[in-house]
Amino acid sequence: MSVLPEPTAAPEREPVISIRGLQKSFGALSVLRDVDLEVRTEENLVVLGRSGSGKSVLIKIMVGLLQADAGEVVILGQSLVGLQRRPLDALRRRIGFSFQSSALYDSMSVGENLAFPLRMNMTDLRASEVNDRVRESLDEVGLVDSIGKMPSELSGGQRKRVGIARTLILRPEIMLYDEPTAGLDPVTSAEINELIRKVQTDYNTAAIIITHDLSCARATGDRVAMLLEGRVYRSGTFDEVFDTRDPLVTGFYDYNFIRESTP
Amino acid sequence: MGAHDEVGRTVISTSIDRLALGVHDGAAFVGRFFKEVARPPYHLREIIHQCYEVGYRTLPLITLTGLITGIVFTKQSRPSLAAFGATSWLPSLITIALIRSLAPLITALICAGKVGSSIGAELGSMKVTEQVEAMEVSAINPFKYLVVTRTLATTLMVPALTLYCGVVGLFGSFLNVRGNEAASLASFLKSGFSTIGFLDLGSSVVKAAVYGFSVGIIACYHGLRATSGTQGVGRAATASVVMSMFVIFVEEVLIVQVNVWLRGYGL
Amino acid sequence: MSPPPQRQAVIVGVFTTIAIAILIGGILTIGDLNDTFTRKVQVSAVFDEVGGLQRGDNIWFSGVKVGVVTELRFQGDAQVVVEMKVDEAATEFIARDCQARVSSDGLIGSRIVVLYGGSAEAPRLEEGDELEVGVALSTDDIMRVFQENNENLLAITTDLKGISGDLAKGRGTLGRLLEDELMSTQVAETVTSLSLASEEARTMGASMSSFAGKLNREGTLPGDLVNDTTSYAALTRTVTSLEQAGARASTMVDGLATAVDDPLSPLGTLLRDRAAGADLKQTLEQVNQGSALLSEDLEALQHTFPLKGYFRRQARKAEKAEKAEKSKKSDETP
Repeated sequence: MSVLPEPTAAPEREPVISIRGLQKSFGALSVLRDVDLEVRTEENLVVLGRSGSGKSVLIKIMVGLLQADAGEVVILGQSLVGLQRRPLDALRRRIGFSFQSSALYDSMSVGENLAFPLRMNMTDLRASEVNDRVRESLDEVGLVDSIGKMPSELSGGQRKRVGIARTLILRPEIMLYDEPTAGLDPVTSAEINELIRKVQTDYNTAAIIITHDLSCARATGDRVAMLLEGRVYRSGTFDEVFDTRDPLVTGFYDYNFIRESTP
Repeated sequence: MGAHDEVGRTVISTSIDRLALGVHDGAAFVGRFFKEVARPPYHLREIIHQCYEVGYRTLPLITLTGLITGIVFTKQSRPSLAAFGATSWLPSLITIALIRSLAPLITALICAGKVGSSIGAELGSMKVTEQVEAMEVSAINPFKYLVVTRTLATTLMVPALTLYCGVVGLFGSFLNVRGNEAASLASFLKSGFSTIGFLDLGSSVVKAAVYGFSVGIIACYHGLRATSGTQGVGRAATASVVMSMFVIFVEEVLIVQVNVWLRGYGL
Repeated sequence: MSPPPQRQAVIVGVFTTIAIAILIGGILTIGDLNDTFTRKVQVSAVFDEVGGLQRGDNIWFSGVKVGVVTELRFQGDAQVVVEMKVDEAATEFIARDCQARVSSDGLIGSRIVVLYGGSAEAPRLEEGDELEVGVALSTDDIMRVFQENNENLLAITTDLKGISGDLAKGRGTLGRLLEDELMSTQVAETVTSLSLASEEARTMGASMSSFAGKLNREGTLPGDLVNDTTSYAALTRTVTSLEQAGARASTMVDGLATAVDDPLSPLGTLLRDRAAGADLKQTLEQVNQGSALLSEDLEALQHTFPLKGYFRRQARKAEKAEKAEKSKKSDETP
């Protein structure tokens, strides 16, 4: 499937996502000023930042929901600049996007929510095949029993998991998580963090996880990039990023992170 | 979007700018509908589902309104005609009024209220809860799946409902005439239909289709433009209804003019 | 909440089918009532005036709708060509020499074209035929015919008056008169036409009164006229007296005819008598007066529809004049 060369075990693996000099502003408000990022195969990158720092904007640009003002975004070897609808859709099928609000279609049951992108994108699939893949995806997130429920009957954590299952059904190569633990209690958050790791190993995906939750960042991220004032302020492993006396970093850390709860 | 937002400077005046941008965006939206409607995939299942929602679900309301309109309109017209001893003209009068004007207008207005608001609210809430974006990132064209299917459904179902409304309205009128003049249904229909022509029936159906299209596309437009949460959903629903009704009346005036013009050519 | 897709599809299918059925039903009903689906022949007629006839108005034949007006257009000297489509099935019963006139299908009903008349021997109506236009039976038309008829009557009686005057004054004997073949034929002819004319006057009088009866509604101008009992009575009286005179003349004519045929009959003798001559003269005088009076009445009627009461004055004047004439005549006659 991948257009890229075979992934290697070496630390310098091929980047599946590469972003250079990305800029985006809304009216007078400049959100992303100059962002450089790289995500390699089967790597989870956590993008940390305060609310309103443009984290969500970043991944929305990556799936073409928003247009960048300047800069270059190359995903799976394909540049997003000036990409037509058809190749963009082809690219989107290879990317899973988990929304902050889960964005489940509330007129459809859980099973229909999962089957919907499958039916729309793979019209030659038989009904039984669709059903098998729906069950497979729900099994991955541990919610097979909820197949007939409506989204309104689910808890926040369950919705999140169904949302992730829905993105998995197209077997993506890249996962983009927008605040996966936002609004969830710590126990459920931990479950979601586990799920993100599970998806990474089961589906061999690369992922960008947008969050302001440091426990999530520590649990799910192979690398962390901290976004500050529209730029990547610091990046590296979790410990590398936070092993500093920089008040801008420690402030974020102290306020957000509960040291005792980490393993 | 557009120059106004980006530069943040008014060109003429704030309200005129907004109006011009609205017209531009609306026209682009309608243009996109016609560009996308012919292209596959057609989402037949969703079209049928929407036809069910728009057509079948609105039927009871249309039946009630049509029947009452027929009865009341006949009742109210009777004294005027009786003054000339011309109550025998009631069937013709009611048929002309119902077929030419009342049935399409009543149906369209009810659909604007019921269907327009529900589409506006549905798409509005889908928009603010990121469901529309979720479709987009699943490589599903939300315009095709949401807008084209719903607009097609209203375009097809409003004429169908109009025909129902006409039949039910005529039946209501017949009930009143029967009560007063003891006319038979056959003679009622014969007398009524002898005064209208193909142009009346045809333009009524075409008119209804235009109204249906307007209701659908306007509701979708406002729904997909909804912003800022729950409030935005309510605003989208209200805007859909108000705008549809306004557009329906403007179209009524235009279509009547076209009709008069066509009649001049002996149609 | 909502039924499964399959059920929805069925419901929508049924719903749409019924809607289409309604549409087709509507089309067929309209087509049937407007006779769109029956075969037609196109005919035309040229009218001087169509009285508000419109495209789409109906064509009646013997009180049955047989077609519609398809087009109206001007031609030449402000004439109106009316194009009509007549059902082919009905043409079998409509002769080519039938006439067309504009009428109305009720008191406030729409205008119609009525086809009427036509001889049984004439060929049937065909595509492209131009129909003759008949006289519409309007008030004006009735009056005009009545007036013409009356003028004829007047002329005839004037002739007779001359003849009888000669007889009465003893200018030439009846024998001489009768010997003159030409003269006697003339008398016979004049008398016959008098008889015909008076008969016609009576018919006209009858149709006039029935016409007036039809218009017996308040608030209309003809209504005012008819309700003006004095003038109406005067008119009726005149017509009646004319009828009587006509009948009398008719008897006289019969007698005369016999006398002309056989100069030796008792009537022949009677005619030689001066008194008999005077009697004849009086009869004719009466006819003459009646018709003169009628002529005047009609004159008034025609010109004074809107002027209620004028006719009454006119009648009084006429009466005076009649009296004066009578007294003058009684002076003349010994």
